[in-house]
Amino acid sequence: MTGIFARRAVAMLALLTGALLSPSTGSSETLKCGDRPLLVFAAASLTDVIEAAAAAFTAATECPVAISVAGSSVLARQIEAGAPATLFLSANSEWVTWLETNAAERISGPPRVLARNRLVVVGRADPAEIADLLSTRFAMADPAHVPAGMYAKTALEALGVWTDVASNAIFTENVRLALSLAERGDVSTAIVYATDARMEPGLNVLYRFDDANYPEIRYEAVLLTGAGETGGAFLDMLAGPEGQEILAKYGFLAPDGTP
Amino acid sequence: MLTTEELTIIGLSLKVAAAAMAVALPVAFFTAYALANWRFPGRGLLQAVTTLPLVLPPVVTGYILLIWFGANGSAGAFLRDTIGLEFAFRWTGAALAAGVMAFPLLVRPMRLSLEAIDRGLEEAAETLGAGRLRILVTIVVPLAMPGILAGGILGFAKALGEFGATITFVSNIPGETRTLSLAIYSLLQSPSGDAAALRLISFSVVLALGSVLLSEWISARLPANGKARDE
Repeated sequence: MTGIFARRAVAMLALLTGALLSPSTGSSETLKCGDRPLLVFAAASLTDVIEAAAAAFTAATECPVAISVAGSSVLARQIEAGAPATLFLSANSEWVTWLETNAAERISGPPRVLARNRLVVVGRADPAEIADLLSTRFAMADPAHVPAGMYAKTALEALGVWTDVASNAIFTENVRLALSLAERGDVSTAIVYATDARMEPGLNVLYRFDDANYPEIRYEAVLLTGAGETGGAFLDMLAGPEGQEILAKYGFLAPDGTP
Repeated sequence: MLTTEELTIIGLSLKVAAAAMAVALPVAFFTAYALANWRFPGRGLLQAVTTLPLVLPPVVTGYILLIWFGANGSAGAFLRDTIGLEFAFRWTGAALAAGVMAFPLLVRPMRLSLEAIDRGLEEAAETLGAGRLRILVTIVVPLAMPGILAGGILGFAKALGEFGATITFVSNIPGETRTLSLAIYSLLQSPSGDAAALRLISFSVVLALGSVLLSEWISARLPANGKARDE
């Protein structure tokens, strides 16, 4: 129990010092790390890129960062239930909105769009029309509950091919599984995120969906109570040039949709 | 051979599983004893509740734990304010999830073992003037030992590998709640994590296989199944 009070005291202190210093002076000299690592809750699909960004942050500030990865939905519910996270990085804006409605008292700043993503078709064949690419067995995330699958179905419906190709689809639990089915050759093509496509050099991007055909795929970050100066500094870094460069390296698009 | 990070993960997993067993074993033994020996109202319900973690999706068990034992949960707040025990997003919460999930695996072999005990032995001891505690310690527990050990080992292996309830209840915090399975899950999110994941996977397969084999070996020596006791 004393741990909680101590942490709160440190957080308050950090907030006070943060208020006294202008945000631009957040260099390593002025940044006070908390007594515990900065706890960041990140959507599982961000694992790599957030670990890379955290390593860069720790190298620059000497403040340790601990990252808990799980589905955005699980993390949002845990924050509502009082998890000591200081920053929430969601794979879609839906769960940030949900948090604003259900746990407004945990949020200490407006949500910021960190990156965007897009859908592509990958495989080993040559680029072709979408209807031809999906005319044999292909894999995609389950449109019943996986966001990537929902986006894919919406896009295929907008293109007017969903009813023709739906019977060829193998629905997977997550988008990475669809990718690995294509990689192993179990299916000829798979609909995945552009960021996933980069992970398998053996697969080619055969088709890029038009962004106009499905809702924007946005990765949002929201600062939580107790984040203090360190949490704010990490978010600033992610949204700033250094963080954006790391995100771009992993295939994410900038918040305005540019590569 | 293993990196510091891997040792932390394995050490944490063993701590979580050991704590889960230390608390769950006596509770499970009492439950098994009650189910094997006593007829009381609600016995069927107790039996059903005991089996529940085995049939419920782990995510559901984890979510129920999050609601009850989370930082804002009623049971969690009560335990924190009365005895200072905090589960929310701590390794103790991971142990709670592991213990709950392993509970049915503990009770079953214990109960089979207890039911196989010849009641005549207890009655004979009673006529010779032994108290209930003495009967329990000198007759019941030793005769039920194969079941206790089998359940304990199986439960320990289950606690070591628990995933769904743990990640839902206490998240996936490095050094605090990131146990073996959660670490493997995290590594598999990254294309560069395959090799590291494989090391942890091999370790958990060896551990699980060893536990099940040991449990089977002990089960084969249950008085009900073999004649090991007569030899």
